[in-house]
Amino acid sequence: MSPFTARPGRITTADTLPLACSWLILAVVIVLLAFVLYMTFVPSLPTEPGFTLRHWSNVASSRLLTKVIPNTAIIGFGTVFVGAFFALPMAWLLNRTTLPLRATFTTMIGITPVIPGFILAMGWIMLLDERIGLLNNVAATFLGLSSIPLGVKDSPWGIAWVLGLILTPPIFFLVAGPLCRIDPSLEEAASVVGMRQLTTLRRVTLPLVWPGILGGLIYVFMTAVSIFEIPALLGAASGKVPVLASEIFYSVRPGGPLTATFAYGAAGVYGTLLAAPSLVALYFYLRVLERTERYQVITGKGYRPRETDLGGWRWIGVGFVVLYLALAVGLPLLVLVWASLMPVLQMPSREALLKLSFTNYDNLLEGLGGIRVIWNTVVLVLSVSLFVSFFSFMVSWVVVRTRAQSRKLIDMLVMVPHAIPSLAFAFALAMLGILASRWLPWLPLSGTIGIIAVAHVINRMPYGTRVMNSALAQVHRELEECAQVCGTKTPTIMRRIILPLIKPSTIYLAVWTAMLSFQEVTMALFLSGPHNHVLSVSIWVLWEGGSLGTAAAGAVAMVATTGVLMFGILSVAGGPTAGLVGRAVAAPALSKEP
Amino acid sequence: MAGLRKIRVSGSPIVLCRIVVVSLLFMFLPLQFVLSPGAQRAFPGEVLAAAAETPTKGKQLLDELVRKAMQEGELVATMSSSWSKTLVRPLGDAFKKRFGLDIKVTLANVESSQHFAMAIAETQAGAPPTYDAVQGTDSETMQLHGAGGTQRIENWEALLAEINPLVRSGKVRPEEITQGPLRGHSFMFMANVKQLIYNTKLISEKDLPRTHTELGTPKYKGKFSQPPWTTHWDIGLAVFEKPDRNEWVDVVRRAGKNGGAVLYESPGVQRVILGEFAFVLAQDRYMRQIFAKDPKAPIASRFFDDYNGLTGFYHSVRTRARHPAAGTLFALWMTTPEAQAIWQPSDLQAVPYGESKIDREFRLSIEKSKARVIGWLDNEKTLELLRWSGTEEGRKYLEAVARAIRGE
Repeated sequence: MSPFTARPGRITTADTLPLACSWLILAVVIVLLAFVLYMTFVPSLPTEPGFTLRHWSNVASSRLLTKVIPNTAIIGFGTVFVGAFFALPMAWLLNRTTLPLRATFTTMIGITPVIPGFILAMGWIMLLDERIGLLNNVAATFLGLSSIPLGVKDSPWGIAWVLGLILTPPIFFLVAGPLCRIDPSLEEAASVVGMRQLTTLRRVTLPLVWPGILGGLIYVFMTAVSIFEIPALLGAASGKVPVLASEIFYSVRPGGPLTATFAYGAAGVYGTLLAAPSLVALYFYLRVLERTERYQVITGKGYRPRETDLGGWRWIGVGFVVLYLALAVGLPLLVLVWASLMPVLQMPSREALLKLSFTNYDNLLEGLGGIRVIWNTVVLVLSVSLFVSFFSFMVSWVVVRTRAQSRKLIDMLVMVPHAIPSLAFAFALAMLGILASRWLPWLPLSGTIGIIAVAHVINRMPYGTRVMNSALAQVHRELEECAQVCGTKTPTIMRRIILPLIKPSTIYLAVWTAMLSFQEVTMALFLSGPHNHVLSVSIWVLWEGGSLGTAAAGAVAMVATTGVLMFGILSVAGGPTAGLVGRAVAAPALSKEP
Repeated sequence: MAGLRKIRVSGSPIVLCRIVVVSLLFMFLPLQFVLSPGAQRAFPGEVLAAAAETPTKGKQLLDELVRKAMQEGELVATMSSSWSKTLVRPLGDAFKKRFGLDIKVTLANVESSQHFAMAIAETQAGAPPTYDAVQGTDSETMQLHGAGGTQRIENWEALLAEINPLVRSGKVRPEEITQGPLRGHSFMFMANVKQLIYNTKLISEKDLPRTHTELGTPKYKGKFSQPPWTTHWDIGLAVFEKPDRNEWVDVVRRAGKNGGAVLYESPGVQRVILGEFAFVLAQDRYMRQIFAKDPKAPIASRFFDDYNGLTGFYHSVRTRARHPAAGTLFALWMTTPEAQAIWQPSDLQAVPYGESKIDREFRLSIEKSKARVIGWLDNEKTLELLRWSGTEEGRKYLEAVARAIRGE
């Protein structure tokens, strides 16, 4: 029986493989989630007996209610606001207008996530700080003041600004897809009835892509509240702007040598607290998807999106995109290059210019850990990319293409890892690794590339399935039904018909996942052992150990490599870069089955 | 005497000469020197006999250890996260060459404050350790030791004397390398002393705080950064006659609220150079590192008048290590000038008992400044405090200190 003629709730033979693969990956998710929760009720390690609520009572404090949660909320919503402010207009400008240089702009937006967060934070401190900020100094000189009390430090709004710039690309790409697929006849109809362009945009276009926008905003909210390193550099680590992510950090990375033990349960408690708002957001997101019938004018073929000619306004559009790129890409890249050329990082000055040299690039490969670290990184990036693409495809197949009763549950479960901070997952995996090395010594888990790969795959599955759900939803079932009639089996249909049709989405997902794995530090650092150091960890260790110049040189090499690879892969694999990144492959949030 | 029997068996002319020298000393040394009441020194004859015996015994033990290490075939050890990865190969090669080992050596940069928590979890879970030998500060090592995570090295005295020429020659006493509760378990190979590093363009030396308590005064509001770890504060209790722990936490909290940021020492120093903060609570190593890269960097350092903590770094062999013999050889070898000559030129951290230029300058700078430098293994009071910090009550106290640093 084909999946298309099956009655709802029935599982066919053809569904077995995707279902088995889906539950395999979800089993890992469920085990980790259960482990995180379980640890909140045991006194220390899970191997020791006992039950306690102490971890919950320990974290309950007035400070949590009056500072930590409000700060986290401000940062979450503030980031969403800043991200939406840049991403939504850019998504429209670069996908629905005749703006020049769209391909280049889109690819540059795609490179943003590779720039290490701590470099971006340092860049913003150098730019906007009451004491040393370049902008502050220029403004103070211009206004005749001694200083301008404006900065990004020690303020949740400042943190939200920096995070918003970093997290603009996910919103951009999540919205770009639906924007590209809006049936132009609707906008033309609006035009016929006399609506002006702006009104059409507000009354027709935006409501049509609302699920995509909501998906993007929720994704970014969930990401923003769980990021640690940037809030830490800008005030969270000082206790001035405590957030849930910094609280979890200090519970799993002790404050000092004399407290060299984990607060085992606290990590889970904070993880659960962080997950709560994200799960609420996820609930609303799924509610919106339930009503997607309203938006089913969005289809995948049979038209070419209408592009608005901006006329003279296009230069304002270009200016807006350039402004974003300057703030989010140009500035950090400049700081990165500057830091890599300085013996010791100093503010730009005539004296500092005389100190510029390429010394930090000497023996760079060896300083980063040599070929082994490069090899580890390649293995990690490729394996994560491959597994995320494969499992996302399988999960999405079950969700979009089958009538399995559990498909909604599967779709929800696969999103949950995004609600749990990556550090909590890494902690749970590390503990499981320790226990496995005792009880299952034959299982190579602790200290391997495999354990980092598992963490990354679980962490990227929510995004991967959003991309795949949408891509599969675009492919009409008639094609599969034809193959089915000819007696073709499901794996062959997947391989020979579906995958070629969704190739752009798959490539985009693989490249995007690879990039995120390439630059991810938190989980890789926490799970690192003697044999599994990767490039991002090496750069972090160098920076933390006082070799900022070498770390910056490594980061420059990393960004350059990624940029070239991204251009190369996308160009070779699927034609124009912009077409791949910005349109056909843009990751929409619509997962409703057709 | 067993030692003499061994000497006879060896039949070496050098050994026979030593017997003659020992006999002459017996004859001519004043008796009261030898028998002075309360003297901790060993009988000189015994000293020399032991000196004659130790190399033989040490050599035998070392040979046995090397044989076991060869059988184990591998060593997995940590090195400081601040050390360059370019040191991995020369350190590994020199280590193997020194003992004639043909084994696989893996050295990994590890941030000890993170790894020790993991190591304690491994010990508590009864899991085999990730690393055979680990490096960490005295207080971290004490925590691991308290959890049963370090392994005592049998016959460490003889082995250390055999491996480390400074100990063998008597220039360095074994207690300078391992002592107190860590004696025989952990071996110091480097140290740093805490101090203030300041931007000379932003603050003058005379305007710097003199004591830790002054960090809480409004004059320094937002002007400094300090690390999240407690090492700048915890040893403070040992310098007071009658320490009031709660009062001390209040002092820390006032400083925490008054500070500009809580950052790891290295990023803190970077931001002082940038001019964002006037000074940072850091350590002497950063001064050497910064000046090595940029002699004109606008920074200088100063010790506190009340106390300055000395942090020792130790290598320990892990309980249930997969390669204990190789781990033991490595932990002991890391105390030698040979190992030091490899890592010190790039890391620039001092060895308190070492003889290099950096080591001499390190001691001289402390002497000249007359700073009060205090380490965890200095006296009974510090040792008692260290032991207490390993208790449940002590841990809770230190967690409170860690929170107070963040102004909580």
